[in-house]
Order: sequence, then C-alpha cells, then structure tokens
Amino acid sequence: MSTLTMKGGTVRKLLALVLALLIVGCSGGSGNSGGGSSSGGSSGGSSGGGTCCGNQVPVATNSGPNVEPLVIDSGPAAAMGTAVNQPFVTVTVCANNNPASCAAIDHVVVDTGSSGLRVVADGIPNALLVALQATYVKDPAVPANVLSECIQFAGAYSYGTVALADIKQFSTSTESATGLNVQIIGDPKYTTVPATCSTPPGVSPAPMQQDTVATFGANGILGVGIFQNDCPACQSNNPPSGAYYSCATPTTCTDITTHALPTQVVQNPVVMFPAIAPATTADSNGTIMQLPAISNAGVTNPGPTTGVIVFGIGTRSNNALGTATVMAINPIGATGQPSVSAKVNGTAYNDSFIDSGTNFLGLSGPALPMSVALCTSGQTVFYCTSSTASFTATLQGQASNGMPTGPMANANFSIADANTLLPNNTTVTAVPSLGGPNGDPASVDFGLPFFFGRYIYTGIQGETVSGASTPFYAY
Amino acid sequence: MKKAALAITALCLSVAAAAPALAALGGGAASVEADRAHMNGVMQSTAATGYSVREIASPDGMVVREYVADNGTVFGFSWRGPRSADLQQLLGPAYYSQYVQAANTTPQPSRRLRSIELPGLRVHSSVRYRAFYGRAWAPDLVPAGVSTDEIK
Repeated sequence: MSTLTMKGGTVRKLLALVLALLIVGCSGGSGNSGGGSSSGGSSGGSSGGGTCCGNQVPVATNSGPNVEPLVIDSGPAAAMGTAVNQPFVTVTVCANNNPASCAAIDHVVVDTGSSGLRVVADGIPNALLVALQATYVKDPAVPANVLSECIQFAGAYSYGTVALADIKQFSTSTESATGLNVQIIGDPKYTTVPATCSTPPGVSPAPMQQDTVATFGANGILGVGIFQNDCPACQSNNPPSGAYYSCATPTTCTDITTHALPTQVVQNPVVMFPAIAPATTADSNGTIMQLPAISNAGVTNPGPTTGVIVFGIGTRSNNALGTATVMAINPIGATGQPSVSAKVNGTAYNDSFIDSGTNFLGLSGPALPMSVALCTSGQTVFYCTSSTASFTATLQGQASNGMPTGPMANANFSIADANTLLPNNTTVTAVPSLGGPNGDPASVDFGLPFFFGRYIYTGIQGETVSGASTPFYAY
Repeated sequence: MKKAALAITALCLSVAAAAPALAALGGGAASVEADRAHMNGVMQSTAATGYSVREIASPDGMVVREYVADNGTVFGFSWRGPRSADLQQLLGPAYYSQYVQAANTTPQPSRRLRSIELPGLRVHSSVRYRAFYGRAWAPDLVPAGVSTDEIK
C-alpha cells in the first residue's frame, strides 16, 4: 500500500468546506517575470511566508490558448488517501483519429520530472479504453506484436500497453497532439506483468505494483520533463532491460534489448504540439509552471484556481523568458540522473533538481540542522521541527563535466513542521515549506513547495528556446 | 575428550551457518567478496580516514560501493545504475527483514524518492529517467568521527 502523497490521516474527501484561500501577496515585488537573480545573500526571512519572494512574481491573469489551470486538490475519489501538493490538469484524450472516443480525463498529475502521457485504465471511460486498445503501437521488429512498457518509480512500477492517441485539448488550453504514443497503465487486456518489470533480476525487494487509480493516486500523469521521450536510450540498438516489451500475446511479452524504437516510445506530449492558428510558432519547446505564493496556513481545494501551466517558452507574448535566470541541466550528473548545482547554507548539492512530481522539499546532508527530523508520529514521511528552519540557497546550472556554470539564482526556502502544516484530518491540499528526506546527501529535490511564488520554466532537450540552451530550468 | 571436540566442531559449524555469508551490512571482508561474486563484478579499493571503500562494478553498469570500517565491518553502502539494488543481498537477512517490514507500512510520499529510517537502519533510494541511486547504513556501526554523508 504505497499510495503517493498520502497524508497521515484517513481523511476522505468530505467535499470541502472552502476555507479561506490564503494567497500571500508578495511585497516588494519586482513587477513581472524574474526579478533579481542575485547570488542569494539575503537569509530569506520566510517566516510564515513559505518560500516567499525568491524571484517572486505575481501570478497574473495569464490567459490564452496555451494556458491551462492547475488544480491542487485532494485527488481522484478512487485514490487511496488524499493528495497534497499534487498539481492536476484535465486532458481530453482520444484514440488516434477517433473523435467519437474523446473523453476529458480529470486529475492527471503534471510532472516536470518525467516525460510522457500515461492514463490509468480504471480511471478513464470504458469506451475510450476500448478505442485505445484498437490503436496499440507495434514492435517495429515484429509488426504483429503489441508494445508494452514498464515505468519505474521509487519502490514501485506501473505496467501497460502503448497506444496511439490524440490530445484534443485540455480543459481550457487548446494545445493538441495527434498521433501521440501514450501508456495505458493497468490495461486489463495485458495484466500479466513481465518478470523483468515486477521482479527485476538483481533487485530486492520487488517494486510494488501501481496499476490502478487507487494505488497510482491519479487518473494519469502528464510528463512534461526535460527529455523528448521517456527512453532516450531506446534510440540505440541496446535499450535497457525492463523498459519496453514486445508482446506476441498478452502473456508472452519479452524485453526489447536488441533493436531501437525510433518512433514507438512514449513521447513528451509538449514536443508534439502544433502551432495554434493564427500563431505560426508551436508552443512545443517547454513549459512554465506559475503558482502563487501561499502561507503556511495552506490552501484548501476545491476553490478558486490557484495557478496555471503555460505551454511554450518565448513563443508568445505571455510566455517570455524575460529576465528569468537560466540554469543548464547536466543530463547525466554524478548519480546518472539529470542535475543542476545548488548551494545550501554554504554546502554544495550538485545532484539537485526541480520536480513538480515530488510534493515536498527533499533535503538531507550537511545543511539539515539537527532540529529537523522525520516526524515520529502523524506525518511520519515528512520532517518535523520545533521552529521553522530557513535555508539560504542558490541554484546554478551544471556543465556536462559536473561543474557549476552560469548565473546563480536565489533559491531560499524553508521547512516547517509537517504536523502543524498538515494536522490530522486536515482538508488542506497545498502547503509550502513541507520537507522530507532526500537520501542523496548531495541532492536537493526542489519539489512542488518550491514552485509556490515562482514561475518555473522547463526547457526541453533538443528544442530551441531563444536566449537559452536546452535542457534547462529557469525562474 | 572426544565429546568436547565434537561439541566445538558443532559450535563452529553453527557459527559458520549463522555468519552473514550473503550479508554485506554488518559483515566483514568475506561478505564484500560474496557481494562481488553475486554481481559478477570487479572490485577496487580506496582508503579514507577511519574506513575504506570497496567499489564493485558489474558488467551491466551497476556500481555498488561498500564502506568498511577499520575494524573490518561494513557499515554502509551505496548503489547507482540502470536498476535498483539487491537489498536482500546487500543488507543481509536481519536488516532485510527490518527493511521489508518498514517498507510495507510506510507510505510513499514521492515518485522519485523513498526513505526508510529505523533506529538501526537507514535506506534511501531514488529513481529518475530509469537511473537508480541509493544508499544505506547502520547508524550504530558507523565509526566515530565518520559522517554518514561520506557514504555516496
């Protein structure tokens, strides 16, 4: 039982009393986009204000066909536990060239830490599922064989087939994609999980299966991360074991490890967006997450929409890079994972990353004071502390040799007491200053709390962004 | 006399059977060699103040580093590569059963990070884009003066 982002209690969504929406207006704001990219001397007086004011920008009434609201609520009703700090969107998905099959899928979590659209079979209408099952993507080496995929998360996996789909639109954004490879997690026609996915050799304990809305915690996931697709190594003739499978029948899926999958892997949907007429430039090179600063009292949803994701960077008047500080991402850092360089209270954290798919600030290592430790009761996967800890931090790009490069941006943050932020039976679904451990003592996971009060840009590798080399983060 | 000798032999056998032949954490040099053989890997050693590091690299790209105190006891390890770690092998039976019990009852707060913190055992793991990384240690086996941040 490993539902993502459970809060301690067993709060089931009592359709909420809409509590006061505490959006903290940020004083001293530097107008639009960016503000200072100072090298972070100021010791971020963020008491009560969460992550407030590092490159603070007001969330304006950004609108346009490339703007989609983010909803941070308690998650789909079928999920175990309630979500916190999970940004959801609604995506209208169709089987490829089958308009009659289109259905709006709510509670699709936006993840800047992965690439690809995945829908959970028991979270979509049966008519759409059946239509998608008629558009399975095939193994290029054995064209009769259906392609399936295993995706690994921390201690868990999700398995299912790959189908050719279209994104018709989002809830308000009219960005679209035609002929997008998507994963159907938990496809009921393919329930026999290959052993290299469920019990990978040389791995113990076996990862836990998350192939239902109940265990996955969302109806789908929209991976808008830094790579073009979810398996760059599948462009070579030696894809990794445990990734993609060739299925002669649903029970005989075998690892694809000896030939490339040039066009069959699950793509980052953003790179598929065509230009929206009358525009002639596609909003396909990256995204901006725009979430308001919130106080430690948190925000309860459903309520007013609290933020947006903007598609494209520098492709329209509403998504300019402006004066945001650009940080180059090293695609293969010291741990093998994409990394930028952070400095926290003077200590280097060179395996750091920014990730809307983590719902807390992940920090261990030398910068963590003794007073901050895992809660011993209540929110036992998060940090408790007798007084809010403030961290003076900067973020900087990282070259492929692992060295910091380029300008630094203020990345000050704070970690507050998780049991105060999220008391038992709370209906709060968005909180800043929520911290937890990051096993890598050289990594800060700048999870969703870091997004509050900032415009977080993610530039996709292989795409062109005026004024920056991809892949990058900027804010 | 003969009886006593037999008893001693039996004692030795039972010690051997109980010895952590497959366990690295809390084990000695023999357990590191067992891990190397299990991974079909090649091993390199480097020395540091208060401990040494045995780095095992397997043909398929897994790298495991074992941290051995000057008294010969493995007090921690790290891993990175295209898959997660074989914690049953690396933790050994006693620590592994503690880990499994805790992992089965601890909610998973993130798709990227997983942390199990017990009084006698810490295990942290992460995965991003099919690249796995993690580390583990037994706090009460870490030599005095050595920071657990050195396990990486």
